[in-house]
Amino acid sequence: MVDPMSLINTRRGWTGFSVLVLFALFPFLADLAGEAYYVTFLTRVLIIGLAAVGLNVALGYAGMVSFGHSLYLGVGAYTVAILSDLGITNAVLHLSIALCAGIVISALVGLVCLRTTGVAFIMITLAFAQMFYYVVVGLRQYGGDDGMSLSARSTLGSISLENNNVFYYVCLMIVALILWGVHRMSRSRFGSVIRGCKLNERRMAALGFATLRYKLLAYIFSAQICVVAGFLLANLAKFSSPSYLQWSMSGELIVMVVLGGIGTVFGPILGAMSLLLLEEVLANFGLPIPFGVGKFIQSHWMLLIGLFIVITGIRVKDGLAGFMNHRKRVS
Amino acid sequence: MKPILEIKGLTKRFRGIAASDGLDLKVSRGELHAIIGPNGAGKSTLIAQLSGELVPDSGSIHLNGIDITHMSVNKRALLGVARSYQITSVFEELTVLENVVLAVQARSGHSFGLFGNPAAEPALLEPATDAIKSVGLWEHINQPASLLAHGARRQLELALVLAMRPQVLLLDEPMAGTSSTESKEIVNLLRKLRGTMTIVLIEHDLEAVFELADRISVLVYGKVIASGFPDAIRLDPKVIEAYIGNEELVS
Repeated sequence: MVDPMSLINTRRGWTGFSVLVLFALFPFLADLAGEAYYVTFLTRVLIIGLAAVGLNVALGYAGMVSFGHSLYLGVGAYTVAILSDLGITNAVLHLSIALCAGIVISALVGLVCLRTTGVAFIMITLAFAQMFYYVVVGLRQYGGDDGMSLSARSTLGSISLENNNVFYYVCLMIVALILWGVHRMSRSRFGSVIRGCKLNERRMAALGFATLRYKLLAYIFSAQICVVAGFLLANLAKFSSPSYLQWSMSGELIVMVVLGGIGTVFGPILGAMSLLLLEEVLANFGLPIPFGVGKFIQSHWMLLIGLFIVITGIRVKDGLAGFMNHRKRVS
Repeated sequence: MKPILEIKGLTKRFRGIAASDGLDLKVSRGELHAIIGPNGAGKSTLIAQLSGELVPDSGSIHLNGIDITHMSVNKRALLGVARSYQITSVFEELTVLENVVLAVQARSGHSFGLFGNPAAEPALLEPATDAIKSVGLWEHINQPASLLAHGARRQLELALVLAMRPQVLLLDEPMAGTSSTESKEIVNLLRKLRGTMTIVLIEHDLEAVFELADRISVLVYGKVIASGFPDAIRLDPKVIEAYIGNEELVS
């Protein structure tokens, strides 16, 4: 008996694999072109994309529209900043403490939020993120409003994360590992249960599933991916800022997930990449269009990004990842 | 013999209107117990309280002597109470097989495993395919539920509850809106199931009810006004009175 779902998934896996290979080759290309800055830029794409992958576990697979996942980026970033300030620089220690804090916070927040559904859920997740935002702004000894700089990146034995290319590959490896994990999760027993909760929670309970438990676990799992992204983000910029926890960050992550493809393994990375790339190109390079149109676009680039989102939303079902898979199946 | 399901003094009010009004009912192990009654008699409210989706204001429900009155929906399901819905409630985006595999998965231990594909586990696949065969959906096994015709969706609804291997099967109008050939198939299926498990059947098709039921209870305004063998119910003057102006009892 051939399960049609499995065929689609294999193809999706290949798309992801080829994109990862391209990512792996990128620093060589950037070096050849003498544009080392783009390695840093692509690292940022990977990290923000990773946060979107995290949100996608809650939003795409379990159907929980969280408008507060920036909170967990903040948990990751501020753990690094505060520990570094205390003189602890070990990356493994940074990451494990960040994850512990993330698990505790997301479990408590999740327990409260999951008592609600729909719009109420969106508002409560937003409220929690805002609460933590103001907590961080109030941390005067850690920069308050202005955020705080790190004197150096986390240390990882003999591997020097200060080297941008090395840091890039560390990020790429972490992202690849988590993508693989999400892919496995989506096809596992757990994955099918949270998908069931998304599609028809009432029925899931009637079948005998303790739905709250599964949804809470999905929420915690999703939050931890964002904690990892926050940990990497603070290290990339050597800076931790309250803006990581701002509601606009949560919103951007949602846009990336929807743009890239809700409930697809690789979609959020594509969503982050296209959005950040567009932003970079439109804001920094004048497009060669005469009659001042190029200049107009350069100063109002948000307009074009909005247009891009609207067109993708209307024309492309299942986001960019769905679009690419569709093209492959047709050809 | 002790009844498998014992309901005592069940009362549930919605804004003062009693949908269940001191309802008493005993269901024996292995029987097909039909519940009939005019519209608004409180049949679906009774099923919802038995499955745990509604909590009664007072009264008690015992399953095998265990008080389940305040037990959650999912715990009851694991104890062996399975319900079907009057309005089909399946997983639209999933195939027939994936739908039923989920139902089997519910009672096969925890589902926190992050590895391995459930649709490839023989322990889940075999009971699922059995249930799909028994309701006659075999040729649609890899079709998404959203693409099934109405009758096939009703069959899938039944496959989901059968896959739970319940002790007590609560069927809320399984034949609602099906064509005459489809409802004949469902009657055939119920005939086969009769005796293998306890079935509580709510159904408007009285012809089917009188053919299938071991015993029948008649519900009017949230109370059981008569309970007994089909032949006795047919002749009961209280039942005839309740049905005058509503529906004709089959002769």
